[in-house]
Amino acid sequence: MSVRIPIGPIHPMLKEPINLTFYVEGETIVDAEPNIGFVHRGIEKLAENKTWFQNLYLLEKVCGICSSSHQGCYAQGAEKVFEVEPPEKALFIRTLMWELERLHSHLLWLGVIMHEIGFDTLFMYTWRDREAVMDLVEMISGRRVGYSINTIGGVRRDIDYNILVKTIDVANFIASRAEYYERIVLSERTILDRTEGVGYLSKADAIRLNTVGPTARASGVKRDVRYNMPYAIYDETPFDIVFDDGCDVLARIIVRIREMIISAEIIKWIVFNMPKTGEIKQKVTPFTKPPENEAISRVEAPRGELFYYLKSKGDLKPERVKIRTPTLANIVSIIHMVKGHYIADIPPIVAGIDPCMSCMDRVVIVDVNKEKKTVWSHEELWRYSIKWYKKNYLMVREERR
Amino acid sequence: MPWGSVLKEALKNVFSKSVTVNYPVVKVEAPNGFRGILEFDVKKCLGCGTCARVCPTNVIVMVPCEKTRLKKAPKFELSKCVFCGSCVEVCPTKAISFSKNFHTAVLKKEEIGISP
Amino acid sequence: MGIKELLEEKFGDKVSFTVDKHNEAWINIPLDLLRDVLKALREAGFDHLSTITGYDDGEKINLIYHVVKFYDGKSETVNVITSTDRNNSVAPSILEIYPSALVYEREVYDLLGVKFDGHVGLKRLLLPENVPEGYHPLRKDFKSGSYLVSPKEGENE
Repeated sequence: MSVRIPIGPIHPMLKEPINLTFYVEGETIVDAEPNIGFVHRGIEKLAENKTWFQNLYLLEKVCGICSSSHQGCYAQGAEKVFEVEPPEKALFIRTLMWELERLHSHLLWLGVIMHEIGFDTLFMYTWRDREAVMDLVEMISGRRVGYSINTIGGVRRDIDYNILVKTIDVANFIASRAEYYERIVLSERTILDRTEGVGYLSKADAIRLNTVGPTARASGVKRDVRYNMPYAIYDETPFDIVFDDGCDVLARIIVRIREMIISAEIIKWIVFNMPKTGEIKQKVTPFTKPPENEAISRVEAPRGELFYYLKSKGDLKPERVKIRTPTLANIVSIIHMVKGHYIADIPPIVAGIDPCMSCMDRVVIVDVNKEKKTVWSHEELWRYSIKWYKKNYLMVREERR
Repeated sequence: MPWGSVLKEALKNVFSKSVTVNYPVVKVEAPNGFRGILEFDVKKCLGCGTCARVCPTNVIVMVPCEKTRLKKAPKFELSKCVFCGSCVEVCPTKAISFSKNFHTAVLKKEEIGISP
Repeated sequence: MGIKELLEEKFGDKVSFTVDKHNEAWINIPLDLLRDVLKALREAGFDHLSTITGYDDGEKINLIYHVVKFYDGKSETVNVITSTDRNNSVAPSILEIYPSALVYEREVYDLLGVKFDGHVGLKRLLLPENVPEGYHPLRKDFKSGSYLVSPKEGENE
């Protein structure tokens, strides 16, 4: 007979709220059900009331940490609708910002998942290393988050020579730190006990449930928008797709650390091959009307494939803007991954898909036999999961061998 | 060794200076090109109204004013500003510009705003 | 292109196929052929469903299904367009063909009011559960502010 545990919605530590309900028997999870919509702001409807150029500044606020991916994807789609081609130097600057964003997003995620399993040392180190990237981005674009560097027809700011020199230093520093983190993750017993064999998603299931991003690549599925449908400069850069056969949370950590090393190499290639002179945008004024058209644009955000569909009726305002974020595509696989695991495994599994909406605030445990209801906060679930593992880790290690 | 691979770096960090900057005590300056609170020079303004048409959040409202050539000037309600920079880009005489000031906390919304 | 010949052989001239200059293929089909066309596409290797887009153009509600086939270093995309009318909007569900349509069909039902028969557990995804029937924000005749909630006296959550 199963007990229902609802988890959610609002949590002060992570980015966005979600509500999940888990059906348990004893300590093992039998089924799960997601319930989203707590941060629904009506952006798709609002984008129909603003002009094509005003939407650039609305759509970068869909997500705080992948803001340049949203704005760049919209600008790429709008360029297909307006039928303009951005100049080459603009594509180099746009790709540089996308890769810098991937670096600081993966560093933040690494700190968060280490905090969820109780290894706070790595949480502090990764968030300290991330400040080097944030300072560089502030020098290039003027703000630490919400860079607003894209526009329809190109980019809005040019890059100085001394900032390019500093970019190479930052890329080398992050690559050496990422190699150090890979060595620690593969050799430290406490991390391996909590992540190896947890959250198993086989390759056939990953293809059947249409997972995207590093979650799919950690199950051996070789799909990446930069590799299969190259856009901007990605058909010329030295890009190797990163994938792993582990299919568990440890494989997802390794895939993201190796992607950081590849991103650092792409950044160095961009700096050495950027054209020294050239225009940075086409002359499209904010009062131009586009032709009647529709367009699709896809970009590899740090979490997976981001999809935009734009439709124009020849007006100053778009008729339909449709957004599909990568976390929505990965939610269906959480239901599949948690079956058969303990309650104490919920934090690493849910954090392992890198949710750009997050949950885990109040846990209500309903014990049907005793009719008793206890309410826990996220702090208490987190402490419970660490304490439970300390007591039972020998038993779990025997089971997983 | 199955544990303690961070020991070497942890010991090094115990004996070195902390990374945190004590912000209100130590003054921090923003880099060049930072997008801070807007500044407006009414002597360069023509009164064309283009800045009010491109703003995405309705910060700028044109009010009657005698100091400009077309007898209108913009009034800024900066509590709604998102620092996008559209008005800075389209102004034909460069009358609007960014400053390096990032202290935007006030007690009443009317205290932060520019009237010509 | 192989897929064009395959579809014209199976469905004749009920399917109209165009390719635009960015290499995207667009197909227009009537609503009752939806399940057969998607099943034929899935068997031809198009196993990734990006999303289901719905939009209202004033006369009818259009649905677009975006499917992708990935192979080594390349890909092919096909976009299937169909439509249903506004007053009695029903469409067949494709849950057995693409299991990830679980969340996409719930989103189209929530925001546009299209009912998918064959779906398990069709309920609202983004809006709260206690919103009344017939309240679908992305339709063109929707008036903002037509449903307001205020807490009752003495009620404290």
